[in-house]
Amino acid sequence: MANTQAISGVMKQVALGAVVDGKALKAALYLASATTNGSNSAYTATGEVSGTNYTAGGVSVTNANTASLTGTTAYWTPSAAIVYTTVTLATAFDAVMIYSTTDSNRNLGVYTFGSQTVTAGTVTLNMPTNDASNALIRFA
Amino acid sequence: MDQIYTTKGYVDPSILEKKVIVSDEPQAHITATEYWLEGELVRRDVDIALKGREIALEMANLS
Repeated sequence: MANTQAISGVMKQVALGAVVDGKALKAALYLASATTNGSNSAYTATGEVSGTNYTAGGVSVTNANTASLTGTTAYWTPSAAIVYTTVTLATAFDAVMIYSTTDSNRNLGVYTFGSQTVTAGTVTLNMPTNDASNALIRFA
Repeated sequence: MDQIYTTKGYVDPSILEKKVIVSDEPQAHITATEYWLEGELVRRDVDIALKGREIALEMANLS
């Protein structure tokens, strides 16, 4: 049996865990016209949505999960849906940034979706199954 | 039936026209539910099922 070059699964888990395990996280929504992406090292108010009942910085993310490992894939997903209740966001938005307030608002990721508006309603961001095939963040 | 909140305040849902718009984007499955009153949009909810992202880590060969 030959040796195989590889980054170890446990290294991926430790690396992912260093930025998500036990961290206080928030989620902010961004306008479809904004340019928020992986180059943003931290939360920014630039391009963030504004509207009735939306507070700058967004809402808290329920984070009861820790980085997990199946095989050589490390993964993590927030442990509950992210909900913005009874908001009016009249200008189209299409992205959410999840960031860590524990670590100087470090940007963990920007997730895009189809352009939307909301009127006196609720935005619910449902999370995928937290496993090696579907989790929100997967280091493969 | 419970009243629902709209731009007109709480109203009986029986007087509203409900439209459900479903779209499947590469990054998310989206369900938008709209409530219309006499041709005016008075409530719109959005339910977004995010799809996860896989990040492939690469390593260099020893030189």
